[in-house]
Amino acid sequence: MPSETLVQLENISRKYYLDKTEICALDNVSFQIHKADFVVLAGPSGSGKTTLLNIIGCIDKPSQGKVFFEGTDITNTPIEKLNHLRLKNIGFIFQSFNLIPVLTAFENVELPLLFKGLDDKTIKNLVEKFLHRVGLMDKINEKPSNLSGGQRQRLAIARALAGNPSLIVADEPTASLDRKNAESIIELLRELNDEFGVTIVLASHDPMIIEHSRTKLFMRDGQLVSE
Amino acid sequence: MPDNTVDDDFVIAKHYSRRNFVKLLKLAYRNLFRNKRRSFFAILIAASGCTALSIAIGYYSFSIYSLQELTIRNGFGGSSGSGHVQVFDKRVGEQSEERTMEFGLDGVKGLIETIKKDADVDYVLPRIEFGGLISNGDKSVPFKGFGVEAEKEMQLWGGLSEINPRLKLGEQLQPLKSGKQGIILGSALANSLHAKIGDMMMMYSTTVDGAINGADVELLGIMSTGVSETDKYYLLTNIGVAQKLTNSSKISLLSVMFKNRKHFDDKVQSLQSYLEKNSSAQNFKLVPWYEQAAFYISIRDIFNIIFSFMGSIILVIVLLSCWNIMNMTTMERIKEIGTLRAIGLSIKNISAIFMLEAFLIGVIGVVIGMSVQLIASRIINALQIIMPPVPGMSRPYTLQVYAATWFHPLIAIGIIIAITVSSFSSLIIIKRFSIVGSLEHT
Repeated sequence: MPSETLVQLENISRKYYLDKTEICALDNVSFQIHKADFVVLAGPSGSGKTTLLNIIGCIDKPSQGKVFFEGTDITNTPIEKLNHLRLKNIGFIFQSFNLIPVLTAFENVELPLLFKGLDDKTIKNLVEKFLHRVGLMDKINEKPSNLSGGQRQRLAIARALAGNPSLIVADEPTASLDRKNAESIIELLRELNDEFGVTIVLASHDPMIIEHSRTKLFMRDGQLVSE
Repeated sequence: MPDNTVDDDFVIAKHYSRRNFVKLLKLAYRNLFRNKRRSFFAILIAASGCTALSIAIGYYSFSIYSLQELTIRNGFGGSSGSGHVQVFDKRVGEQSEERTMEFGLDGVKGLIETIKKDADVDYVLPRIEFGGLISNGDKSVPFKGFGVEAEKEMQLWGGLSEINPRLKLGEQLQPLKSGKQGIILGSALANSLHAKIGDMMMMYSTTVDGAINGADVELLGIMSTGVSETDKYYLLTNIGVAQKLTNSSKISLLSVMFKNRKHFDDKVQSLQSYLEKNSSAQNFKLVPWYEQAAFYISIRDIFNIIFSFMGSIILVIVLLSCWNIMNMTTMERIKEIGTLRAIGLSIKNISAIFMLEAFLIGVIGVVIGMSVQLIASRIINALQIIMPPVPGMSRPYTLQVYAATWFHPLIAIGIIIAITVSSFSSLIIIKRFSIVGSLEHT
């Protein structure tokens, strides 16, 4: 595996059982994600984008195949044992933002950092740096309910980025936003990708996002296909 | 990649565990306001449980204390109050008495003076217990008699008025202070003889020599001992009358009242030593009140079982009700739980949030419950609710609820633990859902 590879998937399959019916969400998928890349998983609904993203984000396990993260085989490591890997290396951005409604913008970004063993001063500096970077310093004490959709997603980005992860996984990050906000979010993600060298993997079927990507992977019926 | 695969988020954050605990506590506190109605009901359950337990324990304390004082001052079972400790001849209970007053106490005046010198002693009551027949001329009925010093005995009986102001037991002894050679009869005994106050009657008993002796006595009063069965044979007279009838200057026992019951066993031990040192003429046996309180002890044991059972049921109801509420709360936030797990928080950390939430509900509930209990007890006590007589008794009593503050910490801990345990339902749900399952949950 080349040194610049962040995630490597080998012959990944993921099967679900709906009642007693077997559903193959991923079928023998293999590819590599390189460090600092901006990857878009494109494809129609039900093509397996989210399932693949979950495996890349280490919150799901493949039924078959191998997963390597920074060269280490984590295929057989239980999900619970991967808490620290996610805490340290992976940031998540969700379609519906998934912010904690009772926490302020500052506290939402602060929460995962608390469990990384950072001191208070470092946490404060990191939170303010990233809230400033996503343009939410004036909303630092606001709760998510007082923010617009675009602002909420910016806050979610700040939360994902503040821990200095090597990978950000974003599932349909613009699906709940209007066109203007969607463009703004994608531009922000591209800038952050360039600025911090963080690897970003997005799942989307939005042509505008696919246009912005550096690496495009198309999926259909659980398999990677050519465009 | 060993540092990434170890489940060491607690280890790495150990240095900051206190800080993180405070942050999670803050988050748990704010979560209480997310669904205010649900939190209100959870707190209401905790507060109700706490109030119910506190009032039950307050009533238990009142009942137990009342029964103790009744046993000491008036005799539970209706015979006569034991006092705090009774002084007998050492042979009483060890050998059988063949003649009346054979094991009676002699030289009583000196003995009373000696006992009174003990700094803890409040007063000493001499008593004679005797049996015989009481007759109206047409009919003779057996009785169990008590010869007492009316003045001191009134003080002993009257002490119950401090617990229950409606009870004016001391006044029942007032007729004996008239100086007449008279008696007070239990109501059922008086009825069986068709006797009215002022009637002259004949009282018969055996003397110390084994002869039959009789005395004309006036019926000075009729009273209820509070126990229907005892009323059928109860007779009370002045100690002089009883001594004259039995032809003896001895008494059966001395009943001693301490100033209070603090360090009770030490006081009894001290009195025993004191008597052994200062009164060598006779060997004495000191019997504390609870050794002659079989009826009280059996009722106390029943109360303990009933109240423990009731307390357990209340705690189980609180636990199950809050279990259900925590279930709903967790399911409502299952997507949020998925998010927290995805960003790296462990199940332990997330469960801690729910546990702290339950803990806060418990603490708030206990504070409210205790406050309500204080107000409710005062209202109950002020209402002077008359309770029907307990089985076997003929005297109603006034319901009182004591503060029982000694038990409040245990109630608080019990309620808080029950509610905190209810948050295990959250842990079960969190573990049941995978991260992906939680995130996809709608």
